Amino acid sequence: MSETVVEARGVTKRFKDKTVLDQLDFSLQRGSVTGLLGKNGTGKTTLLKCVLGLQTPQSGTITVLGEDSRTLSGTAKARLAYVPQEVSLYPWMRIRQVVAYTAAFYPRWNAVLIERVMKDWEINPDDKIGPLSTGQLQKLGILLALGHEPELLVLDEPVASLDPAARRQFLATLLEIALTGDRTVLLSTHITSDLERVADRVAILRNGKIDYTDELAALKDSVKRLRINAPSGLPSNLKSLPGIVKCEADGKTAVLSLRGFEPDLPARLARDWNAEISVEDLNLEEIFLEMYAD
Amino acid sequence: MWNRLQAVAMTYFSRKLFWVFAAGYVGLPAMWFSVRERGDAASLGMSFQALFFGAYLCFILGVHLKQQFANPRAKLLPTFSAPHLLVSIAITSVATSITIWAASRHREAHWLGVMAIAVHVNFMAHRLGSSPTNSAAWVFAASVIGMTTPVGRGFVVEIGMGHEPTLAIAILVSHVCGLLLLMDDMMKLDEDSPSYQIVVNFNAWDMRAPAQRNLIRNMSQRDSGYLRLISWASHRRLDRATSCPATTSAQRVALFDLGDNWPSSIIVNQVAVAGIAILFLVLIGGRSSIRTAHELSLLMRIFLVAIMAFVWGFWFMWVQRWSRLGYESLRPVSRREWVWENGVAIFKNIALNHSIAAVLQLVIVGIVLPEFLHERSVWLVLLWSTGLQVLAFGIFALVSSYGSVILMGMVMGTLSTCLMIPGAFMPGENGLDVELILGITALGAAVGVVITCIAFRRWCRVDLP
Repeated sequence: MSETVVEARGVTKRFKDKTVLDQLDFSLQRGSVTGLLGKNGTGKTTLLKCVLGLQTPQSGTITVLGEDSRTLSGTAKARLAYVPQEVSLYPWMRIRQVVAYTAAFYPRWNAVLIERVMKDWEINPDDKIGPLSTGQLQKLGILLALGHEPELLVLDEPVASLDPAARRQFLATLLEIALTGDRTVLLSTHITSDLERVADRVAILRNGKIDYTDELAALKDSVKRLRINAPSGLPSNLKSLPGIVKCEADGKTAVLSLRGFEPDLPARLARDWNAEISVEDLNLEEIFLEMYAD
Repeated sequence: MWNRLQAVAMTYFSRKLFWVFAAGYVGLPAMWFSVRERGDAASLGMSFQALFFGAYLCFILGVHLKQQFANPRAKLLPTFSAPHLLVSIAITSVATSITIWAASRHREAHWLGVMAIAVHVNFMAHRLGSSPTNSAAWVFAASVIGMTTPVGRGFVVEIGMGHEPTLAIAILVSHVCGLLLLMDDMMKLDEDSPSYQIVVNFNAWDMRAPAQRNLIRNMSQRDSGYLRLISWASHRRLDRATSCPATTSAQRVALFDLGDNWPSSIIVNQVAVAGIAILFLVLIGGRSSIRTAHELSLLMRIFLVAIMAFVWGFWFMWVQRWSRLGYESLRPVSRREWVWENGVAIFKNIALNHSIAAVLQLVIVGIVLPEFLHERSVWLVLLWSTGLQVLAFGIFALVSSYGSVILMGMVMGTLSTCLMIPGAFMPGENGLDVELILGITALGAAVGVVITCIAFRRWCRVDLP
């Protein structure tokens, strides 16, 4: 069993009278690329910041790389990296200066990697930071996070402002990094198609808790859409089928989304209901919408 | 129209901070004048305070107005300008009227003269808030500081007592014209106007300092020779500090010191220029009235407080980094080390610049008034300013942990103007004795150390963005 890099138990975080994280449990295994999903305002950024020790929960414990997140040592911080949602750097510096400035803090820095990525991503080291656009800053923020080759990479909406080509480049680089050296990646994003490209695990935040966490492939195997055509009428117990997430019935046809799909389910239902059943695979966005859209 | 005016007014009155400002600057002078004799020197000082407090509020009102107009809404919404301008002028006028009332409580004040001074200070502050250019800042600073020098103060007192009615009227007329020009500027403002980009880019009523990206981005795009010149030293320092990995605390302090939104040489430059200019203004302008060492020490106090206020700019720069502090705290050091090393970086800057200012003052006194160089009161005022600088360090270390540019500005302004009050905490006209001054200095420094420790603990725990 792989080592646990992040372990959160019973984490509650409130802002004044609003509870954002409510007795949340979460763990992150070494070597995984985990996507954190959730609707706006569900606490993804708050969770990431609590994991990194930037915010203190009212209750619960979080350990990161074996240390309490609130008192991370310099050694632990040298093994992790963070790319915030809004990257803010030093406007008076040039890119090469910011890279050198960041590198100076770390005992280990892969200058060759940085140079290669700068070239691939068309980042001009002589550009001033101040006039950079939000997307350019975000690219630079990601670049700076890679230089010391962290064991744990935490990214908060890293591609929100990137154009499609830049997103592809970032994902390719991320995959390359994730596959080498047993690195762990935790990223929150709304772009589910990107998650499907890179993530092997997904955690879905809802009502302050992790509602679902498992391998992405398992999630996609578990949540399916069934189209039912019953010439002799739909059964009365349709909506009480176990695992139903959503059900739309119209006369003799129905569309069901359900969780906990079993391979023999369509055949059983077809026999029991005297109906034609077709199964549709859902992509991550569809799964998210089916399960969490109001 | 009435509904629109009400809605616009609520953008001011619905903010708690507006009422904090209003209560502070109305309540304070009112309390003072209820317990003090209305003719003494301290009351005169409080009259000046009322002007300064009014200026703070008017500055914020100017910031709020500019933010309303430097916005696509101002062009796209029909009938936007009139209600916004009317409400801004009305509130600024009410604020100025209250300032006039407070400042005119002195027995010998004349309404016309006081009105001219109050309008001058408040409307200039309002203009500075709505168009915070370097030249506006310098004019305002020179005007305000000039008013605290013996010559300037005398001049202001003459106007305030009604002895210069023509000048008072001229001041009033010029500011009314200035106000009309401001209204015209606001109505013509669009994205092509250079002034559009010059916005004090924090929410005027928000306690938190948001990322000031637009302002910083626009300012950094101005690649002027002057900026290049004063940034040169910081760039050289940066290249030196990053030439090898930082393995010691001292090396990391040097790196953290370079992490501001602006190169710190900008502050140093401002301090140096301001210091020399103010000191010469103060000393040469007031030379004829300096007969004793005590009078010299009063002048030195003005200079030192002004320099202290400029040097506190290092704290301002620190708070402007607020949106980035969470990211920076993840450098490979523990939180305690990170807080300590950043604190040391700020302390070094303040200590160095304060020391240079003190030495500069002694050098200039040695050149202009050498006969007073050996006087005890001269050295006492230097010691006093050092003790209070320690107190200020603690206060700002604590206040900065709330991440609010507005709060920092309020504390800075209040602290600097309170230190200017004659007789307040330093050798003044009331003839405080040496032991008392030394006691106040030591107490101030001790309290500063205690508050610094409290601030350290808070910074080690506070939630970061």
